[in-house]
Amino acid sequence: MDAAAALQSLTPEQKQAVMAQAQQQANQQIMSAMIESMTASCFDKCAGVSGDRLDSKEQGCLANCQDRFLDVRKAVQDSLEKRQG
Amino acid sequence: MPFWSRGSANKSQDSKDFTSEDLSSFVSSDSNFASSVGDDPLMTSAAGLGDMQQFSLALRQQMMVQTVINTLTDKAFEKCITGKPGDSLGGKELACVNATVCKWLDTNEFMNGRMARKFGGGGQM
Repeated sequence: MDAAAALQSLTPEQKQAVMAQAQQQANQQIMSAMIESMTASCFDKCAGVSGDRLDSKEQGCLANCQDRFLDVRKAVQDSLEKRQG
Repeated sequence: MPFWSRGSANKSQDSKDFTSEDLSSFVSSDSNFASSVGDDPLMTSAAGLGDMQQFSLALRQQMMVQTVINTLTDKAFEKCITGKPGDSLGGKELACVNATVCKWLDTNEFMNGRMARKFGGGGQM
């Protein structure tokens, strides 16, 4: 029995469990990728080159940066929907 | 409805739900797999697509959409948030984000269309 057939032969409850897990993994992957680029961009914008810890100014900048990044993401979703919704 | 539309079902979701187009409707009950082909068991098997395959297809599409959104977010953030980020997005910045999205879509169309004209249907270089 190949994988597709094996999946099809699961009970409804088992199928739901498989799909829920797949959805969760997909969500995590997307989140992960987003956080990675968010961190890289905000590091570029906020981190100075002196001292061996982030100072409060840099941390404040990072907090703003994170919030603005999320705002931009939402604005992107809105624009996509408006353009082709 | 294009694949990146978030649909009407999940409008009430929290704005911080980054994957607001989730397929929870697929998981909630057996009868919710796909809206057209999946309604008729005969059609589903005729189309050769089991409910799991339909889910898999939809999930892959969702991933594609979210990946595009991530890419566009990077580009828009880079182009539009110059200098240190402020306390909120201004009107100018929002307009810039919208322009970035629209022009990116146009750019895709333009590049693909022009390549198609250069190389025709055969795809030979």
